[in-house]
Amino acid sequence: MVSFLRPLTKGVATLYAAGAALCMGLVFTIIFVNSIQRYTLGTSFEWGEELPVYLAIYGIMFGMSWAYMLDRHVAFDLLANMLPKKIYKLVNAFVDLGVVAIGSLLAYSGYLFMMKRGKVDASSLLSSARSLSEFTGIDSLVVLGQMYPYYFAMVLGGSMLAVAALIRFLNRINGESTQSAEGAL
Amino acid sequence: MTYAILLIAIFIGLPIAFAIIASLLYFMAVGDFPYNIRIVATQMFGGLSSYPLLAIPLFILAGELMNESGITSRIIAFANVLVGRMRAGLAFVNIWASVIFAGLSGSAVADTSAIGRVFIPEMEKKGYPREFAAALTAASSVIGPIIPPSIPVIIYALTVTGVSVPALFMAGVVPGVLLAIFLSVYVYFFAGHYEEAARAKSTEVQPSRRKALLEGIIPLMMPVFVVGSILLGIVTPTEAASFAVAYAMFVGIFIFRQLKPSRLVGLFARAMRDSAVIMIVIGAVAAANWLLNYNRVPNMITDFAVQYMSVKWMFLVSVILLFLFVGLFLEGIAAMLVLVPIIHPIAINLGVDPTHLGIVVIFNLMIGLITPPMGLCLFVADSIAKVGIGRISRAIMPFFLVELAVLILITFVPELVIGLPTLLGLM
Repeated sequence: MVSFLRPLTKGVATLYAAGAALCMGLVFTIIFVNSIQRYTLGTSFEWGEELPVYLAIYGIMFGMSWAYMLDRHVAFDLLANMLPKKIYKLVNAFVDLGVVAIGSLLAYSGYLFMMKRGKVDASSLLSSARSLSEFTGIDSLVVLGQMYPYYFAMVLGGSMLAVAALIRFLNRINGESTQSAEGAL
Repeated sequence: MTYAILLIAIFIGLPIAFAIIASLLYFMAVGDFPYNIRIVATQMFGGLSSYPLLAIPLFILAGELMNESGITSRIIAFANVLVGRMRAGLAFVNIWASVIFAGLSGSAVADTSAIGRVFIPEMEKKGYPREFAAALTAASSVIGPIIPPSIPVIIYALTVTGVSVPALFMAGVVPGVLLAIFLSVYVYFFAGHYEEAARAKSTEVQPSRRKALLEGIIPLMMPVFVVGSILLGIVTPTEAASFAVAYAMFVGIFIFRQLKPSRLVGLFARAMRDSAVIMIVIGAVAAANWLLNYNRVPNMITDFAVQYMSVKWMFLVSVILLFLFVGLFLEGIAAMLVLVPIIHPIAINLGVDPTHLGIVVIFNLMIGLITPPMGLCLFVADSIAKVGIGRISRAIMPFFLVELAVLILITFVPELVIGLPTLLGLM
């Protein structure tokens, strides 16, 4: 179990870290290039303000899940720390399982949200999505002009959080540290 | 029951953001609320869908890049040249390095970590008690989010209407510098007890004053450029933050040559992870605020408060006491997001300037970073000094009182806060 857990922890953490890095890189690049373009050429991308917002939400979901694996979230653990060691361990395991449930429910909440409101147009992305679809001949790319792919961030975020908490729970009951959750980046 | 779940979840150590989400999910799924749990994701997504909010991850990334570029040692050398030769020189350098660092990172915790690693062992060598060095480092780090650029300022500006980020940025300058001066005065007299400390001279640490000044000016250009361009209305805070990232990258790779391009991916990942810890609280509180507003809780509190609180000073004293108390237990940004929408209408009703209120609230919550049991800066300082929270907590008491004095001063002399932005025509 332990031999399987360590590479799993590292692999999942690396995936989350890579997602967070990619989103951060894209958010910075789009905002920076868009600003430079606006101040030098007087033009900017139509989607230059909306797309970074959605990318950042994806980044937050990756970062939130990764941070949970590393125990980096802000928590009030003073009282829990005062408990006897055995009970403290039990409480922490309970917290991990609680976060598995919260992540799963958040993913479900996100799914309901996406199905209910996903049809709405992403105003500044619509024409670019249509152009992209025409240019590539891939009809399904039109969906990039709707909110489905962006609302999906909540589904993905909840699922990733549940997986992160489950891995942390498994590490905890096996007495493993989550140091490998620093990932490979 | 919802509030009981929230409290139990927080007390057993569930991260605050998830505790809020858990109680909301319970309320909507099990409680008698007429909506379903879709609302949680809807409101969280809505709370995070903000272009100005993107300044937060970008400023955090700029801070990460600056740190990786060896900026901390250069700032310390620069501050050393300026104030290191004075009595209690090293303690002075600690405080004024925090002021300079404040212009780069905007995060008190990052400041404690970066400056503490250098100063705590160095100050001990010069004769300062270790807990004093750790307490001073934590106390001076509070300046970080008060002097621009500042993450709490951006969040405050998004929470209330009628305030601008440039005005708030400028409003933080005088209180931040005032705090540094008050801490310096205290240290000047207190350091007299430490014979060796009084002998700490800058030349022992920094042999070349010219080099230190030159290398210190380069990172200092960043806050000047960032804040300057926002003040002049050339760029928005989010765009300015992206320029700060580009500048930090350029300085790190081409000027100081300490930032390796191969490290960029890891830095991007860490910046997004650390931002996510803040942003997920924002998303969760946005959902919670929607629920509170739906139930007209803020209106009820406002109506009640207005009825009994008819004098401005009484309101300001209540704000100080409330935020000091909340800051003991709750993380600052979460506290701000929950409480500011409630107190803001009361403040407007009583004629309190929202910019003034913003700086008072932020200053207040930053003091919470050095007060146990939830003082994050205290924990970070202790993780470096390893003297125990109890000893640092005792050592920080005089600094806490100094900060409280500055807080009272800026609360009841609003000109200290709104004077500069008014002078610059920002209000």
